[in-house]
Amino acid sequence: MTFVGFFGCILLAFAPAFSVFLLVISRNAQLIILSIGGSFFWLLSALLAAIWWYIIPPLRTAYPWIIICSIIFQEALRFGFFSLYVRAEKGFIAERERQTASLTSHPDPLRANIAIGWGAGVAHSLVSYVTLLWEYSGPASYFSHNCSVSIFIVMAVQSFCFIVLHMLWSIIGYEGFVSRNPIKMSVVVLTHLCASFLTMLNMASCGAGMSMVVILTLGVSAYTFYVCRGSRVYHVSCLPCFNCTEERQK
Amino acid sequence: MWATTVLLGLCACVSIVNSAGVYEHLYTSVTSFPCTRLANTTNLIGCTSSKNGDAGELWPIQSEADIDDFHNHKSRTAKIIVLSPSLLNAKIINKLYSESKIAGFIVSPTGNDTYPTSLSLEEEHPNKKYGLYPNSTVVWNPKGNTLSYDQIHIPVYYIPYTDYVTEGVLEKAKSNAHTDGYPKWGARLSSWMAASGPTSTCLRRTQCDPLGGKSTWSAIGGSIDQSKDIVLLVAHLDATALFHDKAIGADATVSGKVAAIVAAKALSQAYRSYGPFNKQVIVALFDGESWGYLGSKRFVRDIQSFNCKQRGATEDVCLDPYSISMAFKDIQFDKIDTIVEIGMVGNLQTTGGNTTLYAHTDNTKAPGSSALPAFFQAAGQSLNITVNDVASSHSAAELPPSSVMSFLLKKPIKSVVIAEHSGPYTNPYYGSHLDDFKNINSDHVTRVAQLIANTVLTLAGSSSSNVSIDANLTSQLIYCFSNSFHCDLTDRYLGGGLPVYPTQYTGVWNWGSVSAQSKLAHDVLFDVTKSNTTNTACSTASDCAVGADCIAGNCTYGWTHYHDALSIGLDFDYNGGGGYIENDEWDKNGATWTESRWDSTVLEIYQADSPSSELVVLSFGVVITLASMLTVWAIGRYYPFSRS
Repeated sequence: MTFVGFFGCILLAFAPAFSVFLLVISRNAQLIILSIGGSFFWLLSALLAAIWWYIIPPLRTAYPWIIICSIIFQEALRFGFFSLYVRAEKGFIAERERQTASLTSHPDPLRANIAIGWGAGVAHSLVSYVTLLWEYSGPASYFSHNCSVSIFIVMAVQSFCFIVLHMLWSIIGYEGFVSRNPIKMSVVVLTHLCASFLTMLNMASCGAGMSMVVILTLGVSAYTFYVCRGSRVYHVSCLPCFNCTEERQK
Repeated sequence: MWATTVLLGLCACVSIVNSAGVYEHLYTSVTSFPCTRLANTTNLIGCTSSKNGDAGELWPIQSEADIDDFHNHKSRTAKIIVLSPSLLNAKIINKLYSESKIAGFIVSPTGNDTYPTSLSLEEEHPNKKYGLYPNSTVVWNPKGNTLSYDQIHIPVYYIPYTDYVTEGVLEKAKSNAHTDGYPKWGARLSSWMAASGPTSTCLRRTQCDPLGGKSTWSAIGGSIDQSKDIVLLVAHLDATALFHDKAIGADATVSGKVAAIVAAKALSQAYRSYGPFNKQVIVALFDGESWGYLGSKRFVRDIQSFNCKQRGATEDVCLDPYSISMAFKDIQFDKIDTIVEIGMVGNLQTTGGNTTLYAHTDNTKAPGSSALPAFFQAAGQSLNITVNDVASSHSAAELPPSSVMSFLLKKPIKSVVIAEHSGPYTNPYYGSHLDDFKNINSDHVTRVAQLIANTVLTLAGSSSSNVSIDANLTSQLIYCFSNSFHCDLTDRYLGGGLPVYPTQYTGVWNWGSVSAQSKLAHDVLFDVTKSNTTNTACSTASDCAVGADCIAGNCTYGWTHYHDALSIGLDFDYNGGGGYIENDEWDKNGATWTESRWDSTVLEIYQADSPSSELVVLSFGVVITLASMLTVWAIGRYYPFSRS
């Protein structure tokens, strides 16, 4: 395939990333810094997973265990970043009280977590998809068994979902972390495991992995709305919450 | 900032690690042999791809009917044609290329491995302008379609039948033609050739190297007795084909050179058994003969006039002008009395137990030659070989293209060319990759070697005229040269490590290195004519005492030498950094062929998506991006993201 297909896949995979960056993150300098922080922590987790993969030889071909270990690192660093952020937040609040005029306003937690998740999701897609996609700019494509849709298109849709999922996981995870809610935190880890294992279906089947990841993303989105609705962390607002006007007024 | 740097750095590292693995999943490289590019003093020939290779969907053309089907198909995507060898000619290639969008050709045999009735990509009169009859009208190779000398602007590759992938490629092409849907199979042919102009341009730009190699010659019995007249037994060492890696030339070259080596062994034994001959016998195998008689022309020039200005450390080498061996100084050109050349002798006409050979002479250009066929006829009688004197039945007969021409151009010397054909070549595959081991009969070659050995003994005035022939050596040599380089003889003499597929292509000349086929011929010839072998183990000649060479791991004494086969229009500038100097022979000598340099040649097979699906993906990508913008904006209506 040529560059036409290459750019088509880039647009498809990064559609949510472009929109959120343009309409949310780019509006606030602190959000940009947070998103870079999110990317950096995700890359650190990838680096740790790679070291782990390297020092334990039996792990090198045991793909399910690689996925499990890598997710443990990713989630550990996600919550590590949250704890740093919570500490910094206290400082930010103190600073805001002391000094009224700051360069840019301090973002609220929901937008901050969208930015952190955005950073992780974009780093994830850049590393795991764009590096592979580069080969797609040549004449060849790759098709999984009995499939007439190129695996690069399947993976573009999955990258789309993973960028959205990382933002949602960040929102749910932060809420769970701050409110010490083990259910919310484990939902993040379990759906992450689930989504990652679904990508293993790509080689065997045509589109099954892809459609299940899309369904999972819709499910996690719905759960996020549910989490936000009753959230004290995201007290500023709740996403389309038509019946929580009371909370907003508080 | 540092975080961004680390981020980018990590991305780069991961991408390098990932890409290597993915590439191998997308592209399968196939054992294949490219058509490469050559240059002579006036133009370029052969094939080249574009710099990054040419890609297209596979499409089979195995018959004339397929060509019509292809034209009716009317596809706009570039195609790589999987072509049957029987259709390999300039007319079809140019017709397909000019009428359709074709990115390249893969020549692949049809599944059942049947050869076409004939295939010759050579000229009708090979090497005519470099030979004795530049204005000749004789057609020696009527089946020749001269494709090897055309300039082809797209890559052409050959896939050998013996490789298991061959049928796969043809089947993939057929499945492309029989199904409308995607994915389809594609191929990318990368064989970019650096040469951008004729020899003098590309040598100056160091984009090419001169063709040539090392001839090899041996004085039978001992060091040359300069008082004696010389009987010279000559054969070609090299062959050519469009695909140089498959220039097997079993009949074209292997038959003649094997007969010469085996005859040399018999002559050497006769010398030892019956004592010295009245005349000095020399056996010479000339390299680069396919490219305007490079080996024989330089040999003739050197034995006529060679003035070494600077000897090398070993005394045998001359550095200025460069020559790998100075042993030829013992040969006096004027002492050459008779030349016997063995041409194509791999597949003789046979009726009952009787085989027929033809002796070609030209009594006008070389007076006295007409007496020579009688010697062969006499020797043939006891061997059931009928030797026909071609000149007696054809008025104004010419010699077939042969190395003796290089000698006759300088001086009339009695000479004869022994061959399987009386007029036009009977070898249907002359100058193509199909001239392989199936096109040659080991038994015929043994019989020719016997005839040649007996006749040369008579011509040289030996007391005996019947010697025993090593038929086993014949079949071993034929197997090595035309079937597989992985053979007993290469293990013994070259120590293995060679590619499987043998080629007789001369390659590019290099002052210090010798091609595998040239070294094998040299070492076997050395071994069968040697004086004695010492027990000193060695790996190269420098491990041995002066005068000895390293043959099959032992220091051996003998009278076999290399001689450079490089265009006489070029001098190698050993002292001046290894360039080539065009000398005063340059303009007169068109035979200054050079081979283009290249980085790598590779044929890759892959699966491709339809070009329209790319546009679908692109438009889908745009729509999804706009939709996500709208969604984020809509959510922002409830939750004002942009508020500061």
